Amino acid sequence: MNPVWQVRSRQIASSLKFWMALVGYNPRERFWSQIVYLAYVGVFFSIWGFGVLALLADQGAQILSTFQELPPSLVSMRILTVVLLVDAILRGYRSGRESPFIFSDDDADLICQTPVDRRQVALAWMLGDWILPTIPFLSLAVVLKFATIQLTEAGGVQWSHLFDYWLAGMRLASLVLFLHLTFSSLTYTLGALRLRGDRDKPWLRLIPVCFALLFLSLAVSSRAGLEISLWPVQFSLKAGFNEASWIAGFGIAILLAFGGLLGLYLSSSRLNLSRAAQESRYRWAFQQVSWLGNTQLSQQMSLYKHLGSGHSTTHIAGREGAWSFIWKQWVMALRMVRIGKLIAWLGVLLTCLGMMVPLDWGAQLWAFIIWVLLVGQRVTEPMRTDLEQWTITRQLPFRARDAVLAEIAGPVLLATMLGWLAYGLGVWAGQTLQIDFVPLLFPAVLCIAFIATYDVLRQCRCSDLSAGNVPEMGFGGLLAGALVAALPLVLVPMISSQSNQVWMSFFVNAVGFGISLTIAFGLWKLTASQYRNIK
Amino acid sequence: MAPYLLQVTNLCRFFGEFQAVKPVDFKIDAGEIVILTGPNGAGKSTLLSCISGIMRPTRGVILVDGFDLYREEVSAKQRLAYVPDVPRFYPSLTTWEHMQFISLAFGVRRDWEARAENALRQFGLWESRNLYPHNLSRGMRLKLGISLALIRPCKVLVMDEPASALDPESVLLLQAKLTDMRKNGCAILMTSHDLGLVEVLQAKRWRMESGQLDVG
Repeated sequence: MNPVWQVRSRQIASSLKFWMALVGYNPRERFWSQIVYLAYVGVFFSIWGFGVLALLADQGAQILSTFQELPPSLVSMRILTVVLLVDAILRGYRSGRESPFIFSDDDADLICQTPVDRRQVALAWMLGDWILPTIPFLSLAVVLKFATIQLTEAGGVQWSHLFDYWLAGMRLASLVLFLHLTFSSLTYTLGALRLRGDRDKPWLRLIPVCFALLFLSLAVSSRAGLEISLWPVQFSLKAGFNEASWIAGFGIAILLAFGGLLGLYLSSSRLNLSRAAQESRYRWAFQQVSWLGNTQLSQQMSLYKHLGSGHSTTHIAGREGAWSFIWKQWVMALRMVRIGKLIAWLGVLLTCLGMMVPLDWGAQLWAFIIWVLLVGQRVTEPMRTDLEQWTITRQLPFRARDAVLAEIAGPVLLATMLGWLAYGLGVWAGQTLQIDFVPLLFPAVLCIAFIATYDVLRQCRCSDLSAGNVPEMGFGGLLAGALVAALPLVLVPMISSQSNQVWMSFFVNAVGFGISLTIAFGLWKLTASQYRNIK
Repeated sequence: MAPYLLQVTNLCRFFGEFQAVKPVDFKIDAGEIVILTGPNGAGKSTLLSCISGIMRPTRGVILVDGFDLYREEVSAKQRLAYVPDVPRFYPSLTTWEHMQFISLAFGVRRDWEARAENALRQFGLWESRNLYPHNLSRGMRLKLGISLALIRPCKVLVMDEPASALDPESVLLLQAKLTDMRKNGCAILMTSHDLGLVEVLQAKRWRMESGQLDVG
């Protein structure tokens, strides 16, 4: 066997063993019971997967039915095309910046420093890394196909049609599999072209951008032009939705995949493996850490990558004493702004909106609980980051009360302002929202912040903190946070809505506000005491 | 009579059933340097962690310049500096910003920039002042930890094996700094496996074994 394929196949087998071990199968034990267990696992996950996809198809059918003027199969095809294209363009852009070929440290020694055929390496690494990322696309294809059948089948899906239902999903999935392979090989081709020789070619990353602009402009100006340019993809997908011959669609999908692989083969003859290994070292380490479930380390790695090597000194002026803590928090918060964090804060905004809109009390309750959880997680994050650096944080000469307040001040203000923004958006969208939320959001957020911080500190041990291990807010914190926030945000609006008198509503709000602030003050003292007395 | 700068009474620390530090009592006066020696696992680092407030002792009282570390923590911490063997830093503050933050936090008003620059230059960190700490080597991180301790006006300096990862030039510089601090009336308690330091710094040598401290 070719040494490249031998090494790669061993790696794939080893990764397969990892997933097998996760489901409790040990390939070293060659007993019949293990083989039976493996068969059982296979059948179980097949049925489970089928069940989950069929359930998701129910939701998918609801979404597809909202496009009343378009047939469901056409909507499904467009969704699949857009998803495949967006993924390919994003991955293409990434390949134009860093190596799509991910090599481990061992690979860097074994493969990259030896005179093996670069084209074989490119093909082997691309195919080895291609399988796992296809799963979400195949699942989406099956869900959309099931949803389309549910909407078009007269009388709904019958038990007797179950096999046909499954087969239809598989037919579409087989086409999407090869279309995804086509796009993957094209993105790897771009990466291989960039990694030719020693010099970087930054202009190559503009190719996916140009394609994105071309498709966008065609979508706006010339629908016919867009359809012509995407004809091979559209035809294959049409075949999956029974609007063209499946054999013809499958043939075209295979032809496209072959073309993509050929492109990769031809472009990778001078692939610089040393550069590829150097560029992919971080991604490989990150992949390993993520697989092992070490979220703390993976977050740290991602933060270090985001921060880069250094930064010019901040121009934000600092003040002495406890104010310096606020200065530090501010500087750190600005440096740590990332997409993931923005999305998390967007979650706070949306759940707050969901909590205020009086559509269904069950949905409101869930939105309230998730909002409490998200606020608790967000407000404790600066403190958790500081606790990770325990040996320096503990030496600071601040009163525990000041330190706790400085840690939560920024996130509490942000969460409150997002709550007010959610209220404004709700009113702007024409919803009738209770005005009581506006004054009561601040004490509610404050109570959640203190409860969540107390819950984190309660679980802390000095010996763990010295090693950088900081606990997260637990279920107890969530429950207590929901209880203390329920007083201003559930009880007060409920009592207030019973009376038509404005002064009565004002009085109830004022009492609720006062009680909540008193509770927050008590919680502040309790949290500060816990901060001082970490065991 | 002025109090001792560091006074420890009946301090002990348990980890579950295991007693890492058996009850210890000692006092260190101004201008004294004490070097704690002993085998690995003797409890030296645990004792220093307890004295610096990083780890709460199971029992005992720690007075820094007469201030109880747990009852008058702000006053006590103003007078105390601790350098762990593996210092940790805020990930998104640069080397210079760490110096700035510690100066602001400890109320170093005058000439903090000159002092910070001087410390960083002496330890060879000036060129790395805009780097984040995760990009510094182990030895450089230790030097930054020492610089952060030296920039503030401490009366008691506690250091856990400060010379372990330093290059020979930095060890000499550290020795000179410690000698200066002693002359200025600072009390210093540190651990080290380098017995030569005892002689160079004219320090007292205390030995610790199995959690038991022998102050000679």
